Amino acid sequence: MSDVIVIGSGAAGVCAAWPLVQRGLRVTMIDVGVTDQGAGAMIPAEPWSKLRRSDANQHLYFLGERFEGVPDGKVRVGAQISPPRAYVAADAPRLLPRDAPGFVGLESVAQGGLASAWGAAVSPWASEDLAGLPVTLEEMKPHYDGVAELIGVSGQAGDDLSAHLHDSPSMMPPLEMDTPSRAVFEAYLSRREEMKRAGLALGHARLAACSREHRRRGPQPYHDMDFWSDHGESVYRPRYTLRELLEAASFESVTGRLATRFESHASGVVVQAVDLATGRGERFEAAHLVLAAGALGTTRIVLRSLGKLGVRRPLVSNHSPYFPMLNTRVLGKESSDRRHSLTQITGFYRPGGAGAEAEPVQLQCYSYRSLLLFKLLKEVPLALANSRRIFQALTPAMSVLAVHHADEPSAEKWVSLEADEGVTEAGVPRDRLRIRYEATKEETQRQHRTEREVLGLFRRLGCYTLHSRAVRLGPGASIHYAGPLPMRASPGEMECDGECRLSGHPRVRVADSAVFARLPAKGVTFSMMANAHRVGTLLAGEIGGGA
Amino acid sequence: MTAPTSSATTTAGLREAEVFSRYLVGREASPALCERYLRAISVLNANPCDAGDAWALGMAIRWPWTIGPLDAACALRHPGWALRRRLVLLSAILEASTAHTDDYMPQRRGVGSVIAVCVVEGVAAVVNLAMGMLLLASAPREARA
Ligand SMILES: Cc1cc2nc3c(=O)[nH]c(=O)nc-3n(C[C@H](O)[C@H](O)[C@H](O)COP(=O)(O)OP(=O)(O)OC[C@H]3O[C@@H](n4cnc5c(N)ncnc54)[C@H](O)[C@@H]3O)c2cc1C
Repeated sequence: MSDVIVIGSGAAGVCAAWPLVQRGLRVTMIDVGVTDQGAGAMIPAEPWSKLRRSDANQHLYFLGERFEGVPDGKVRVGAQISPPRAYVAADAPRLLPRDAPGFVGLESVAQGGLASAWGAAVSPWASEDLAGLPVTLEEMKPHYDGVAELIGVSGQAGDDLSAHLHDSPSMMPPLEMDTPSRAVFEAYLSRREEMKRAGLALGHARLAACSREHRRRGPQPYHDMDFWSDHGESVYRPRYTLRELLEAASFESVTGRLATRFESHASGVVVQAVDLATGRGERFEAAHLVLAAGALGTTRIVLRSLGKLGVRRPLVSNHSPYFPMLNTRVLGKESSDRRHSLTQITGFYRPGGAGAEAEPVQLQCYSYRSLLLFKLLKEVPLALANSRRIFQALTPAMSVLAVHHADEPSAEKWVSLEADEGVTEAGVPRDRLRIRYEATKEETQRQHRTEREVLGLFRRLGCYTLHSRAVRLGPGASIHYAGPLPMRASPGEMECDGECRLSGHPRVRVADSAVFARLPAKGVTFSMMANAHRVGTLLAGEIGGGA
Repeated sequence: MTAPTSSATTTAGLREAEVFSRYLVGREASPALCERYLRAISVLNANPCDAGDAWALGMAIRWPWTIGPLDAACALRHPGWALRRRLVLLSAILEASTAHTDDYMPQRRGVGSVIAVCVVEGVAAVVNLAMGMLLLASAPREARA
């Protein structure tokens, strides 16, 4: 019997398992664990511009063998998930059924989960972001630092972002900015005091990406292929931690299993799972259970295990529109081919200016190139022959700004598990997650007002766009979810305590973002990983492992 | 509707790819790319789903000068029609090929040249749209239903 079962091999699962395995505890990780079936392996380790000119097989990974990389219909959530990464979202709709009209969120049953395709932007929360949670920044700091060391984080220590983000001691120098973003950043630096007074702070992107060699990964090759391949392993993927975990004799990974429910007793836990190859049920026993199946996946398992069908639980998800911008400062300028594809600039904007009380929004500035021109042309309501020539000339001067808003729970944002008797042929329970998510009019108006203010400041930096041209993919599109099993000082039913123990089930802990009652504008993943590391560390302390 | 199968439909499909490719990048795609295009249509089932849709596609293939106007009108009014879907599909196939890299790679141009391209192509796009809307309006009654 294991000491601990961890369900899920995503960012939360591997970070929770890490301190447990470091302490020599026997850990079994149960996961569906879908993996890449080949498209990624056929990409040569060359820069994007070289592959475009020389690789006769490029259509196989840029478009996919079945042309799955050619989007049909409206732009959808996860549009940046390329054919070699399609496995990340594959199978989830079948194994994790959902009835969620209007909610476009993604789930994953892949090895490494959603972070196998993530954008790697990391934003540690500050004290104000942790307000209301029964954990302080002081308690979180060692875990932010531990995770930063584990995954490799780069950024500029002591820059204007440091007022919003805590710098980890192991932070590597930032990745190089590409030419269009450098022009925006230089414009910001030349008007820095004015911008700071207006509430805007910009800096080099904080990324879970190695700018130098770190834990046998990196450095960043600057091939502009980060949406397609993992050559150089600069950008963090949970499978790298999984690889390290597998080196320990006390760690075991069991894949091809869909965990369906748990029972917890005074002396241990039993997890029921389906072997997806045979459709047969299986039981796993351990002293403790850590749930890390993604905020929605974990909620499904908890509600099913507790028999709470039809009970509404709160759900939050950041609203994150994208604005394509014309960056006039680089029109006609030479652009370097050496670049990475991830966010180039991280920023914060506090409505009302530097001293104001309002909560800041987070900004991410990207360039558009490696995702290919045809995807952009498809969205432009012009004849393709004309738009091709226009955008061939304009793309070197195009930037994309993402604005991430904080999200609060409300009566119109909830998730429940709806009963449906029996199982499918594959042994998968037929119940469905039902999601309803509607922001209030006031929330939406406030967000639009803030976005207009941000765009006004970016105009002063030479970047032009129209607020009406925003790409809004709908609720859930940020792929950041939280809220159903919140962590509270005095937890009620279906809530967790300050150490993320599920109320009434002291041997069951939740390590993913289901425990955060609200979401600040800063991306949730890094804080979730730090919290998962804290959960694993506290549990290791409680069990009292050897080494 | 089903994917093209007979050799006559294959020949018609290859001709369609050549005509569309001339419209998109000013020259014919290689036979290998045309065949890839046919396979993509069949895999993605990019076939007309109603009479108007079929009329626009047929018109564009029969009268290649109408491709630009109909493409513009579809982009605005009917982005899901087979004509627009097939043109996007062929754009993707051309872009992901070494033969057409330069037709799709970002181009460095001086500011004046960028403005000139935007003005010339912008005007052409508006003319295309106006003509395309007229063509759609002149479609036979059953195609407009
Ligand atoms: C394209 C993209 C870009 C993103 N960019 C960013 C970014 O820049 N910054 C940021 O902060 N976040 C980003 N995110 C979000 C981030 O990836 C997620 O927040 C994070 O990966 C969630 O990790 P998780 O471990 O909680 O869950 P998941 O990644 O969903 O992992 C869940 C794991 O549990 C397993 N599982 C689920 N259900 C079961 C079950 N019943 N039985 C067994 N196993 C199960 C799955 O197989 C998987 O291994 C991005 C996401 C995407 C898709």
